[in-house]
Amino acid sequence: MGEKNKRKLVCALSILLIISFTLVAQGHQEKIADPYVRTATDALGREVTVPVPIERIMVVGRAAVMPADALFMFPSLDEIEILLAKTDQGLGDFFSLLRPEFALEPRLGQKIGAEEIIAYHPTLILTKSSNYDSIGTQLEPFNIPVFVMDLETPQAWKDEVVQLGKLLGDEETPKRIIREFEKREAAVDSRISTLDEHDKPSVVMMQVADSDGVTSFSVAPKTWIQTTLVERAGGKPVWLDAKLATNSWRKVSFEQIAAWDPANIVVISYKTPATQFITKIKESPQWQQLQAIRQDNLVSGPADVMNYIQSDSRWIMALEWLAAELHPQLFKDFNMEKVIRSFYNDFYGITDESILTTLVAAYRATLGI
Amino acid sequence: MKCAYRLKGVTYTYPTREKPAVLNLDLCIPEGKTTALLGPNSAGKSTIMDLLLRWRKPEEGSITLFDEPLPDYNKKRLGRTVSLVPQEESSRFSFSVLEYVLFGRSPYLHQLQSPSAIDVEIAYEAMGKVGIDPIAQRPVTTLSGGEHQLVLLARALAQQPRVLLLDEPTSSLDPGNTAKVINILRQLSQQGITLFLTTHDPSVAAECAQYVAMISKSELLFSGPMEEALTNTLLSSLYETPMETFQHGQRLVVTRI
Amino acid sequence: MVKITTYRLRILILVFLLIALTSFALLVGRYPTAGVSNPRKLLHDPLLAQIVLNVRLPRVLLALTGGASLATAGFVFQMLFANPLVEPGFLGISQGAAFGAASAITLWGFSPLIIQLSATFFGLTALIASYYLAKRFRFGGWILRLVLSGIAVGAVFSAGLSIIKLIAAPTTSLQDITFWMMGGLWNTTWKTALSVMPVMWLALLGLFAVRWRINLLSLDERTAHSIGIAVNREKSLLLFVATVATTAIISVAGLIGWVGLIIPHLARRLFGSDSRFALPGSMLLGALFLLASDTLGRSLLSSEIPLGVLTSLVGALLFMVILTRRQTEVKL
Repeated sequence: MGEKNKRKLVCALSILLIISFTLVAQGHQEKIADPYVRTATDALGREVTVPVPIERIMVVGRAAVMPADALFMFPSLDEIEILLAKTDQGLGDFFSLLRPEFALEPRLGQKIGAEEIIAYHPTLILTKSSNYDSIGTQLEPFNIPVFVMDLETPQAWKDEVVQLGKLLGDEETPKRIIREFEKREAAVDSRISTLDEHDKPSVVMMQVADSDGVTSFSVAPKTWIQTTLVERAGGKPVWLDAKLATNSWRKVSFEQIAAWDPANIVVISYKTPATQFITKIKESPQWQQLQAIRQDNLVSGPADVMNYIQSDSRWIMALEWLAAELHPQLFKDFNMEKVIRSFYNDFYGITDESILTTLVAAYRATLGI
Repeated sequence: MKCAYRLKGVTYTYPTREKPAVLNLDLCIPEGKTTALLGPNSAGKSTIMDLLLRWRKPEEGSITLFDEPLPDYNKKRLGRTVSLVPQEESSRFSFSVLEYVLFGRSPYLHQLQSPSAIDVEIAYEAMGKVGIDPIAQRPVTTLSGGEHQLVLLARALAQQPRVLLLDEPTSSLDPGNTAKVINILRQLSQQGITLFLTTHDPSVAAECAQYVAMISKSELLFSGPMEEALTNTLLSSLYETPMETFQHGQRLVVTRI
Repeated sequence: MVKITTYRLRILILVFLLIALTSFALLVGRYPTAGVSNPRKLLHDPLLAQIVLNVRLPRVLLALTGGASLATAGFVFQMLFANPLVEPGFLGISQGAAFGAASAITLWGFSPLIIQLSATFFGLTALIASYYLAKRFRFGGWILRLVLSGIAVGAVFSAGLSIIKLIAAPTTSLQDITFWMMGGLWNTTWKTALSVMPVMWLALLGLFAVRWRINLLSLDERTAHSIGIAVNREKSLLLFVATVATTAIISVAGLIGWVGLIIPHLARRLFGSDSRFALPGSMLLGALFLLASDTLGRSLLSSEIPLGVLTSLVGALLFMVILTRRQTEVKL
């Protein structure tokens, strides 16, 4: 190859560069001004505008269950076609109870590509904010509205539900939901605030999971809802290590838990019912040495088709439950089944008795009753 | 007598050793002639080769090449003046003989250039001088030891050098190939190239060198015309074992006794 | 001289294949349905045209450039280390780059420039560490030592990557370190593509320009010196350029391995060992290979098959074949 060929190559590459730049410039479509739109601000501070009426909503990406749970609180969804990604954490699927067709149709893939989304011609995309950099950026040139939700803290949850309501054209429902939420929160907070520090028992709340035949226990970081739940329910989360600021579940050994020897142990299991773990722990001679097992204060966190102890709408039920568990004398009139029914009634407008029974039955199944 | 290389008071010590590998060396390598460097193993022969190539720099003393200080040559010019036939070299990649010899044209090409038709011609010329043009397309990984040595020689010749350095050119060859190589060296010498070779076999020096330098324990023992160097006394002293020379027709033969 | 014409012909064929595959890849996707679209549809359906320009084209270009970069870098490493068994992944460079990119994202957010710089820095660190470690090993020949030290250095950075997973905030987009481990071009936009492609093109251009000299750097160092090469300077420069090309693609696409190992072998099989042809051959073959793998991975199923998984599968199988067949172009 000589000088001539080299120059040809440089020329070709320059042309390629120029072509790609011009194509990028052309790729931008003009935004058409439309009077029939609604606007809201999403969790990343973006202004999202949707055309009216909304015909199809897709809830995509990882942790789709959380935006979906927020979405289905709105009663006005009957006319809208909704496509969901995977929402079954392992204990069952809530949305198949609301709309039986969800059980029959295949769900959207978690790593769905932009092309596939566009092929559905959706009006609105809902997704967790952590998915924005992958899905959201790809859809930007196509002007498909993407509304991201974070939903990680109760306050964020409330704010974002209000914004979602603006987008759906229903601002009353969020108001009502937040009122109900705050009613329940106040009921717990008011009684817990009467406690002294020494009234608050030590608690270890741990996720138990089996991986590769080995059972592991992990605790949540300080800022997560699992920890703030314990504090709010009048307990002392003894697993907080001031030195270790992790941002995910931290594995702990039995020895460590024995060193803490908490008065209460709460077992959380997201993918399988916790009963198998509870049984194993109760039967183990080394666990029987701990005061929580001796005094029968080992319980599994509540769940129906989803575990309540996560940053999801069901969190409020977990709060009510845990407060009653730690301080039964303050919550003598507590009835979990009533709590569940009123929750689904108030927040999801479920009046169908068969669905409520199914959910309660699922709850009881997780307790092994 | 003009010197191609002139070394004055050259000393070099390896970084990891205490004693110098070469101590206070004064040497003239005559231009246009063949000089052989004799010495026992680890006397310092390879070090001198490295110094002449400027692969290592003397800590004391000076080296001039054609009356110019060696450090003053830029890399390309040095490559066009001096070339090396290493003792052995193996390639992991199966370049053809021609491609391998073409590497020697590198001092005539700048960074972005590849060899041109002219370079290929010169390469063929070099291969012709050593008689390997028939195997120009063979992969170097399939060659015998003797053929390989000839390829290295051809590559060094493709550099069109004024001085050819050969590091133990016949040490790994059988007698037949040794004869071939010595023949070629004699022809090259007749064409006016300065040859400098190291060898541990004095008979080789006897066959092709006009000048001989002897180095023992890092110091120069003797340097001068071949006939004066290859005497029983000097040889026995150099190798620390009884040696004898005798005439075989026109040739001087050296052997242990 | 006959051979050179054959090589030129083969290069031409590869270029033609590349153009054909590129055109095909632009027409393959999941819109409007899964499969190949009729090119004429581009004129009638503006949305399809948009998809081709904004979703497929940047990805296709990135696959081509990234494939060429990985293969060429692998080729350069193999020549410069006189070791046909190395590639960026074996020298710890890929893992170092992934670690650099991931830590930049965790600590400093998403500025593409910082991510790339961090990836390049740690990639180079890994290379230097592997090289000097290998020189100190007292076990085995050069080839073995370099591979072993590269694996060790790579393992250190992989562990570092896992530690970053622990401290990374789950609400940022560093959702899954397994993404980095498997590699993919899943969410390529023009922004990500244009942030790395110019660097890679420059690197490829530079390596192409000095392709004949790369041969010389595979020789023993004293010999290279004797033919007028400034050995350390030229080797360092080339290694730097090759590393930059590698870390650029890794910083946006995660770990994609085996391309740098296998493609140079294939290229040498087609073009001989002379890098005048084997290097451009590696570029073309690498581009083809990665584009083919990526296109397959994104259109076969509705969920993507990670690119790194595909290249590992094909690459490892080819590797076994290469090692068990009789060697002609390389002495191992």
